[in-house]
Amino acid sequence: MFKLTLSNFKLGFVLTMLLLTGGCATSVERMDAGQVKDLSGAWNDTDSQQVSEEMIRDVLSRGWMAEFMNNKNRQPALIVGEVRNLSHEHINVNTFVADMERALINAGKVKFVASSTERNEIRTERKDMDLNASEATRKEMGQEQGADFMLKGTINTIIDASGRTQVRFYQVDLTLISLVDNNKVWIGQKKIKKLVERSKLRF
Amino acid sequence: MTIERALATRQYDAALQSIERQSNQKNQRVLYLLNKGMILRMKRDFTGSNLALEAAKQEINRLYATSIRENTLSFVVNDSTVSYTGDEYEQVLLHFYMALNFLELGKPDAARVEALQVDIKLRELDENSSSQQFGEHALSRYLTAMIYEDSSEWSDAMIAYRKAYEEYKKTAATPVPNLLKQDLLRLTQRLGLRDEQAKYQTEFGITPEKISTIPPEELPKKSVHESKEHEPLAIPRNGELVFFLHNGLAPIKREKAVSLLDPSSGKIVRIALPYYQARLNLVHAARISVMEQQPIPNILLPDSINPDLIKPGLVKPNTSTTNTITTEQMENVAAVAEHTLNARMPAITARTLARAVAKVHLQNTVTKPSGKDNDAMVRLIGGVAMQIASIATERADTRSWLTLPSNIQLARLPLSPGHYSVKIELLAAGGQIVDTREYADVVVAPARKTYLTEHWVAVQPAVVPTTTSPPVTLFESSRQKSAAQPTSALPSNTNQTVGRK
Repeated sequence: MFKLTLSNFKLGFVLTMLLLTGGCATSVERMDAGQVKDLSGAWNDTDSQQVSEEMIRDVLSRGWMAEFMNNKNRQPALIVGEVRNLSHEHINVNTFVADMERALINAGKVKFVASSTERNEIRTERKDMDLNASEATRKEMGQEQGADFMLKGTINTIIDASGRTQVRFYQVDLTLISLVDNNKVWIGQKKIKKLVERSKLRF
Repeated sequence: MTIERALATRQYDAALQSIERQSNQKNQRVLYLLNKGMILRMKRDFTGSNLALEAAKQEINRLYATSIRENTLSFVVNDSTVSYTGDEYEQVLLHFYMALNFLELGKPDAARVEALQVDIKLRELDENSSSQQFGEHALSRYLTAMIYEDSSEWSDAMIAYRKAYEEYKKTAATPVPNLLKQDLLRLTQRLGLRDEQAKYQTEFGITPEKISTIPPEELPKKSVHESKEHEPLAIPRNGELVFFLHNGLAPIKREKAVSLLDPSSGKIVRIALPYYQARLNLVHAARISVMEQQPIPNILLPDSINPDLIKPGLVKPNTSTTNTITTEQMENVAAVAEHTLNARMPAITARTLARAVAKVHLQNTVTKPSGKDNDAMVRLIGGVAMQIASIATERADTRSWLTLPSNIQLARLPLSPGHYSVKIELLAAGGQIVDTREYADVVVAPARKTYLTEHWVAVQPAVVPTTTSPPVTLFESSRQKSAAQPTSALPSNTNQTVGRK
């Protein structure tokens, strides 16, 4: 028969302490990149992936590309402009922009030219080639391909909060603007809504 | 070396080292990160500062939920066992400083993110009706307005300026700054809010002729964009230098303790309450002198201004365009800190008294003879140990963000785009120059605000080391008797509360 003796009590105490301290060791669990795991409710990888999926699907299915091909008889060249973060969080926009670039290039539908931040390094290298590279391998200046469209965008948020509950609404807008005449040929949009409840008590 | 001394002598690495000691105290992690962020920004390491402040923000978020363990502990030990999450004004200033860091790094969009977070935070605080309102968030509102205005979001800027104005009206510590008055008039004009503009004109006593984005004496003599049809109220294409002076150090929390004899039980009860003590500050305001380093490129000069300047050989650095402006106080952090503590004093006192009662009760249970033949000696020793423990653990919660300035001042100077050398003269109350700082090359971009900040800390007078002997008498044992300049309001307040008991 089990009796709550002192030794039993001690044993229980030790076990409880072990249980409590058990959480202290660092644990690592590998996750699939597509798996959804929301921790704080802030913008995370899942949001970024959802945005890029939606945008890629949309940009490839619209008519602007076919129209350009008909008129010019070549693939359109795109340049990545600024995606302004007008939200209330520090959001890294590079992830879904890079996703889009990759998907579009791999689909063989468009070309991307280096953006204004990327090309400075390329130009420096070309200048350096002028001095140091052999005649046969030297790349000339002034041969860059000009872009036809610029990809620009914004991220906006609307927050509604009451007490511990918060509704976060993110809206990502991406636009392709023609560099010839400032026409907007495509606008993609992704809306994400989250309900975040903060806990009231902790240990 | 104390942190204060290291900061006054601008040895920021030494200051960082001395706060490292706090880094592994779990319930003071926020405090450590706040101080670290502040010292790093004094060192002009704005990226590092933002990392520390962002970490502090995450930690505050994590600590949002009330800890059962810590609060139980605080009831038996003292208030300092609860993890420090910062007072509300400190949490808002955290966003304020992150925004300033981003602005000084030239990242206005990232600063705008912080501005939105200030909005959300203030909305959350507004909803809490318990939170005290004494205009403590006026400057944060004002900075968000400047950020919105800089991104050409006029209506958002107008709303923020309006809210800043409402906040300033709530407090007597800082009068409504003249800068804000001009901003309100300028934006109402821009947005066509005639009625509101008329209202502000009568409130401020500023006649329409006096409204100008650029006061005449500060108008750059060879401004690029001054055309004949220039309206006095138009938003200038000029750049603007925005200078923040973070002046001195915020007051420091000290402890005032009394030990009383509880006549019913014969036990000694110690009651310790916090109060604020001001820290020495010599600087009253700052005078900024701005001198252009290079002439404006010729292409930008309209022909009409000065034909001599068009000829390249004759272009000389024009030393006559020195602009001078004096800062204006925008926020009195010291007053806000004291107000906040005053507002929380009833709650702190109630908790302290409840704890005193609990501790006496605990001692009684130990010393009470139980039915069994317990050794009287054990009870006596246990009782004495309990008593010493309860007295020794009774400490006031004296934690606060110590590297905050005592007050924050601002000067805005419209400048034509170009390179400038900036001299900052720190002035005492009588107008004598206490110290000067110089920045050799400040680049003012066209149609944008360029931010520059300076944190000035005075060398503090040496404080006689404090004694912490456990009080066993009925007399007051103020641990900080020797320290200089106790603030007037709070010690008397604590006395009253104790007296009431």
